[in-house]
Amino acid sequence: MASFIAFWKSEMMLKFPWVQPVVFVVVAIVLSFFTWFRKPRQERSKDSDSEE
Amino acid sequence: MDTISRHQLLAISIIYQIGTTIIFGFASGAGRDSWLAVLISTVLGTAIIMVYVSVTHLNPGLTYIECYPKQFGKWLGTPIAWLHPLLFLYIAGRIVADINNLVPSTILPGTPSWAILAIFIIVIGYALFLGLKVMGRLAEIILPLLGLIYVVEVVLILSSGVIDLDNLFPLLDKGWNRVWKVVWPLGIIQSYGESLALAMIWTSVKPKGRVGRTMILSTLLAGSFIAYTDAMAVSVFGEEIFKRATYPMYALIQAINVADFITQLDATGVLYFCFMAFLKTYIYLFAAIRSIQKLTYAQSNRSFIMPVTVIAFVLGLTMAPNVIVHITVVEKIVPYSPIYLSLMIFIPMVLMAVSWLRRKQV
Repeated sequence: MASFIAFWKSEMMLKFPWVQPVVFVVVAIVLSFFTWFRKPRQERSKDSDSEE
Repeated sequence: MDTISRHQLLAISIIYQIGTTIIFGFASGAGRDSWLAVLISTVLGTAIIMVYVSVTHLNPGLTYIECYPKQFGKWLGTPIAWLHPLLFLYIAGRIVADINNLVPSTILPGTPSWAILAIFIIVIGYALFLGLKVMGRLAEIILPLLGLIYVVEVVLILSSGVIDLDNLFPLLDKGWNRVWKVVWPLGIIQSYGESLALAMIWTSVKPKGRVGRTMILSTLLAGSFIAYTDAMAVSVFGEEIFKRATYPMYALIQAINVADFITQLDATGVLYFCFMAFLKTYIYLFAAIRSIQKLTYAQSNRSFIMPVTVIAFVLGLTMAPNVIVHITVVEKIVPYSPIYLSLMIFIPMVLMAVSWLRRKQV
């Protein structure tokens, strides 16, 4: 399991080719939280302007 | 904002699409019919690139990855969009690994790999800080020089008397099967499907318009160049040696011998490979950085340059213990990877269809 961390290595890609797509999808979903829950900078500055 | 002209886009695209095939060869699995496989891949690859262009035309003002949340909704579109910078980073790591395998085994055998890659990555990082405009100017200047070097090499190869056109015949003696095996999916993905990263710089082209025509022209020129080089390599080495050579194009330059005086020109081959790899890595990292900037709503992309270049360095340094394993992954795993096939071929087609239908409704 620990060797799956280095999924980009050629030996891993040849032995377990399914690991890379799975890792990519999981990382993409995790990173998506940044996009979903971080307001666009413009909206944030508008919010702070309206509060003032 | 960083802008480039259409001419600079053309120069970047040609160098990008020729890329690392200049050394590793392309379609060697098709043997003496490799040039035919390349031409077919070029035609189909042009169609794929037109899908990417259509997506950006149907979503004006947005970069390519911004089209996904817009058309598929934020819950589905955002993870798909995030897959792109991850893919770009991985492919950039692969190109750095190409340098890691080629340069120490050819022109710098005594230099540690990490030193070669560190310098390579530092220069790329510096270029990323300078911006796309600088790379556009560099590509504009370098392309004619690379063309001139290539023409000189072709003349020298012809003068060496090593070409035997009989090696190109009989054409298709083993049928179309091996040609199609090379065209789908590797032939389309390599160089053409990978032009997905170029889609991230199309919004920087000023004046707007004619991006599609520029990309078609660059694809046809790059494809013709690769087909011609493949045909030349087959005519010099014959089918069996061409199929088995690790660096067929590099070997082609080594074959130059004019009157035992003009020889040992390998370094020129490595030189223009290094520049093409440099530009291709730059574009991938630029595309990854711009994608991350758009998806995180960051004002500036500079804070992402260092982490992205470090990741590419580590990937390239640790990816492959030797070139045989590295090439095996490209031939057996990468073309059939669901990530490559979905992001480069199938999902863009769906995106184009959805964009077109929504635009029609409006």
